[in-house]
Amino acid sequence: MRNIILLAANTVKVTFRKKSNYIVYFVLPVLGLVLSMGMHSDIGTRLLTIGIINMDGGVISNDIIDTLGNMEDFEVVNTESASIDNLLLDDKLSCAMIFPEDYTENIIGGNPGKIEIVTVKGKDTTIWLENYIKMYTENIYMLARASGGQKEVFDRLYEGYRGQALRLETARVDDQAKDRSITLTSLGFLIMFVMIGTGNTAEIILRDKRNRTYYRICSAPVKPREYVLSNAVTNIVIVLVQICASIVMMRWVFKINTYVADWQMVVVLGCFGLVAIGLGMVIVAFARSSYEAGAASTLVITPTCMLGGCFWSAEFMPDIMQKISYIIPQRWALDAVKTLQKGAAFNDIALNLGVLLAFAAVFFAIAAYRFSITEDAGRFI
Amino acid sequence: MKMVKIVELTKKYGDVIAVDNISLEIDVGEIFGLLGPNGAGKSTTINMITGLLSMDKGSIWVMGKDARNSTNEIKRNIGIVPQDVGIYEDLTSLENVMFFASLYGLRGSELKKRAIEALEFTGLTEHINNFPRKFSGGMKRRLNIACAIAHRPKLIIMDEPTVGIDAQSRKHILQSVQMLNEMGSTIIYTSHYMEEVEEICTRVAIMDYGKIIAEGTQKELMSIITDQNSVWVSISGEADRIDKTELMEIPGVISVEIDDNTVKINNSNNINNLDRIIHYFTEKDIPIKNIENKTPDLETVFLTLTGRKLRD
Ligand SMILES: Nc1ncnc2c1ncn2[C@@H]1O[C@H](COP(=O)(O)OP(=O)(O)O)[C@@H](O)[C@H]1O
Ligand SMILES: [Mg+2]
Repeated sequence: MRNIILLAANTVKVTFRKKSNYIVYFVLPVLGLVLSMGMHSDIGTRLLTIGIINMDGGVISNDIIDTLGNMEDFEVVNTESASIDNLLLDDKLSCAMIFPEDYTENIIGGNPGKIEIVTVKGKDTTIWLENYIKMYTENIYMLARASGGQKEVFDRLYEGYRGQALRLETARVDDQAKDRSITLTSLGFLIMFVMIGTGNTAEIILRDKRNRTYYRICSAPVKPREYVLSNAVTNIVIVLVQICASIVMMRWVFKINTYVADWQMVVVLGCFGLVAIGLGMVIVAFARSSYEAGAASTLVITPTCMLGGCFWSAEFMPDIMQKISYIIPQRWALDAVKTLQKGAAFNDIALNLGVLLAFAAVFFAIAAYRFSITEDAGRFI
Repeated sequence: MKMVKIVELTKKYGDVIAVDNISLEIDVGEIFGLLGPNGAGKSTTINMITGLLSMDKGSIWVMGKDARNSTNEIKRNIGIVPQDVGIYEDLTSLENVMFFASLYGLRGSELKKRAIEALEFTGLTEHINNFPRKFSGGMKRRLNIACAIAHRPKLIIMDEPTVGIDAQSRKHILQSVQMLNEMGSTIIYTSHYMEEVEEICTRVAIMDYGKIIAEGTQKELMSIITDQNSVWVSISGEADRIDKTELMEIPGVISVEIDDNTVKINNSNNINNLDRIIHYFTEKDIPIKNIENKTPDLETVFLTLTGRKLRD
């Protein structure tokens, strides 16, 4: 234990003795991240295009559609259900709303059906829409109950309700539009940046190997797993600082809303950071030179981010790829954030966090084993 | 108890046999020299003593402990000066020494005191708060040594500590090796400079291609070649006109080596051939500046045993 602390403290000291490393480890990653997120996040005033599939055609669904269409921020277009996926992927539509058959009739009958909302950009795009629909539907459901199933009574109540509710909601939309909101793409960036940031992890070990200080440390009574652990500790600290700095910048400087409590975001990204650090260490453990290590991390980061759904939603990938995506840690991290965005409780992502921690544990074990059997301590270039 | 005992040790890298079935015993209090050209297997042997490399065959005991399963106990009592300088350029001299010494269990004021002593010992007192980035090669090597001795190890292993440094630093290092030994440490000193080994070592093993080809005190090694003597003929130029094979034809000549303007001829003691050697030069009209009769050195021992120079 003492060795781990000594080694970790020394690594931090050596790394940040160079002032330029503050820029390399904190300023650049955080700025890069926040800027690219800024570019990919939705500015509230942007027009959201909603594709509509109306299988109902009753008065209530038509009213909802009209209301949305009359709002400044939305444009509604009628769509065929067959073409939704393509339109969504091509970014022609921000989301699609599907009204089930007999929606109006059922809701008056006291048995409301569910309006389905489809998006590839993450729940953030539709979260307001969903809340609005939910509230609207609930209110109408109450009217329906109040009218006891009598059509005339309902119609009268509904007529009165229409006017008020919409004014209320419009006011809320204006409020929200002032903030930017995180999109799936920018969320993918966040995950990818955590991964790239941990490339620096690798650099710390590589530096020790190049300078022969790794060899020197190994000649002292230090176990290889203590060395690996000390590096893990150092890097966790660095990654956590990076994540917290990013979130602070997002929240307070760029005013990007993630729709997830900050501490929950730190926990999810922190767990993912552990995985990324572990992966970085595995790469260093197997690489025979700095060059090899660099090449390997590039080879690993981009494809796994693609497969894991950082650039597009994993749900839109072919079946087989979706199955594969479950062995990619990014997928689990993204799913966790998306689940939280839907308003789920923190307990609901326990599985995701468990899987991420398991990935990290496996990577650390492989790295530690490899470090303990590798005999090139003196030869690394 | 022996400080180090090596029995039938072998290490291979793929097809390369880096250490080939060697056995050695190093007594407490010795300065033991491991002499051999580059690639002989010196560093590989040392890395097995310190437990950094696994052994393919054989065994090593350090202070009576089996190197296979008490690595950390052994490492704690060893101070290693690696062949490649292993220090942090972004830490001051003092911070470097304190960090490495702390890994050996030193702490608090004791740690600082010992670190300062080690730097004093290696002549770096004035540079205690300077960064090694600006140090000369010799100063870096001295710092490398300071990092190895602050915890006062019973066994100090120095792997070619004088490669590529100025004469003054080298002299300083050789002196400190002897002082460390007088202060009670056993020392293993590897080098491919025979002058150094001759100057400081109490006992020497000569390694080549992974094997120990000779071992003993200097006297014992010289006795391998007591039936030989060495004649050094200095000329003022035209060394290219000398044909080694012609010289070798002279009865009694064992080997010939031309080093700038000095022709080094190894002779059998039993045959008087000095007149014929001189004749060779006068006949070719090559003026002789000086002739010396040299007593054999380790270089000659190596040459005799392997037919090659130590520093090819
Ligand atoms: N990690 C390694 N992988 C492959 N070959 C090695 C390795 N380390 C040393 N060797 C080879 O083993 C032999 C002995 O090397 P070494 O012990 O470094 O010699 P020395 O220290 O005497 O110069 C050399 O032929 C060298 O090329
Ligand atoms: Mg060597």
